[in-house]
Amino acid sequence: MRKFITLSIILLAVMAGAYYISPHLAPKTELNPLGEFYLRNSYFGEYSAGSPEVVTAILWDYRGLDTYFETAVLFMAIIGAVSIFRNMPSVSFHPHGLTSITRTGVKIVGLITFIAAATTMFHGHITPGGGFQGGSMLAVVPLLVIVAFSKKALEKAGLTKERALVIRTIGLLTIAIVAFFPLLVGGYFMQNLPVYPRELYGMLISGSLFLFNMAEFLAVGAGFTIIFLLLSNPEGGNEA
Amino acid sequence: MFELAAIFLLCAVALSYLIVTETDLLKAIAYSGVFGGLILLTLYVLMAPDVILAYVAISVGLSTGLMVFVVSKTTRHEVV
Repeated sequence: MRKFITLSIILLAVMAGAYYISPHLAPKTELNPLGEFYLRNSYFGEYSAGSPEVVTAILWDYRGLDTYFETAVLFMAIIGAVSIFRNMPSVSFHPHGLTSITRTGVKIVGLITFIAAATTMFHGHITPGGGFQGGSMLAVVPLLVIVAFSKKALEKAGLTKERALVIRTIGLLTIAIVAFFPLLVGGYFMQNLPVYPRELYGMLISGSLFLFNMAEFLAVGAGFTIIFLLLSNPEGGNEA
Repeated sequence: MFELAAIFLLCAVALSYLIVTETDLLKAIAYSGVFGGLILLTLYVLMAPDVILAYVAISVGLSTGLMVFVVSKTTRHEVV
């Protein structure tokens, strides 16, 4: 009962605050100049990124350096987790997993999730989505497999911690190579369009955006998978 | 349409209170999944599909899963 009184007081305070503040906030009537620049230039225009998807164009082209370091931060976090768990031996019980109803469901849902993740990534430069979004969807699949089957089933299928680390490193190396390559041909760091082709065999690939999306997809998906593989180790593994 | 976003956010405020005060940690994790769903609906009303695609996987899937793993390594009930 006391809980609900506190809750209603909080809700009333939030509503009163919103009622008091909202008239003082001026509504926006026009686009700011920077936003207008991105909208006009991302596909057409002189400073084109070759992509009709403005968000991906900003993430990997106009503000590419930000995303580059963001990926580096995530990489550092994963490396930290791996080094903390480095002495933990890999043991697993629950060899049977959950019931067969759940396991069949996970097989279907896992396949659909995988396809959705790949679609999000491959269309990242045309429709909303991209490497990070697709990669985080991809990481749900090993999580489902660990919960419904077991950690051992994932490792039996070939996705061990070491292999995930290799996939992740390949993704990060690809990002670094694609970012540094324009320097060799006289461009600037993370340059997109004149260096990389806008279209490949008549398909729009938006220069380096497609490559960046693909590499980030692998890096994020494999990175989260490493964390799940480490955390699903049962407690007390050192003594066992 | 924006009224809808306001309603979702108010529910999110109520849920965040429930998450903080709940002593059963698995229930708190389930609440935070619902909280993520409400933020998702708000983002949908505000027309931000790129954010939704990342958020739906992270808030509902990954962070919930991580928290369940972490709780499985401690006790289920918070000791006050």
